[in-house]
Amino acid sequence: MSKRLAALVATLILLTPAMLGSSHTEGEDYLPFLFAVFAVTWMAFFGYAFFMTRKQADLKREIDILRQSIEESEGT
Amino acid sequence: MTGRLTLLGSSGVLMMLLLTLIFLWVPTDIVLGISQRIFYFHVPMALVAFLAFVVVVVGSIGYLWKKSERMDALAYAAAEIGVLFTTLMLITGMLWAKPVWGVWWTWSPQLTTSLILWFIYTAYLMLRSYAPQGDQGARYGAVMGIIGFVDVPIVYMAAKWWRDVHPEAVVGPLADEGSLEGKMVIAFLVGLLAFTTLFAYLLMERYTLRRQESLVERLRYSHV
Repeated sequence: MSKRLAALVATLILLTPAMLGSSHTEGEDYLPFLFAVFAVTWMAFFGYAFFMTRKQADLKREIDILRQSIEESEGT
Repeated sequence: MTGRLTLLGSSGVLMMLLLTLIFLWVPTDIVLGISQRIFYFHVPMALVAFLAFVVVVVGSIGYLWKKSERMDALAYAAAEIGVLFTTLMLITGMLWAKPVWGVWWTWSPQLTTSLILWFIYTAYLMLRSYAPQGDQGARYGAVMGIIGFVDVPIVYMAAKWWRDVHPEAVVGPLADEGSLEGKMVIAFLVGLLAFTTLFAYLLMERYTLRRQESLVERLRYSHV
């Protein structure tokens, strides 16, 4: 939960210049596209980081199971 | 670990700097208007995707030559991140095409060859998932990783070889001198550095994870 919140806060921080800059530029029709580019990019990177974290947790769980199973087989 | 955190921190700082430059410093393009600001994300991501595929080739050659598992893990990690960057290159390209060309997608040579590149390395990842574990799968992957790279120079040269709606390269050996204004070049270089450091960080993380996956896989089979 805290990781998701951190990701959301980081995304908002990274998008701040886009929001600030929006009041200084012309061609407001293009703004949604510009905003979408930054939003999609950050979401993809945070999504990938999340995927790696999940994979890491799965691996840790699997290592624990393997260790337990090895210990049990050595015990018998 | 400290090296990785340094990379991540540098990437974060450079990203903030890049966004500040893009929105508060670089001049607005006369022809494309503010949509041109997409360039500072789109082009560096494309170049980093190419860099990722260079790493795939290096890792694949290294694997075929020395049968080193480390090189195979490097190639796999780089391919996965390369696909991520290529996906973002395609999406940001579509988001730029819509306001400028009026369509989300057109079958121009550069777009088509880019999509083919995405398919090649997505197929590489699928092959690695479905091919047998161990040497055989890694060997198939290495061959595919090397052959697939042929498309990278084609993507770069496409706008030069087949003139169409996509603009010609404004950076790299094919670019004309002065095709970008001074401030734009600086922002572009900051973008390139930011995405390259992010790529390096992700590559190190994914490489470590891949090595751990292989280790667990080996342990699982040796134990069963």
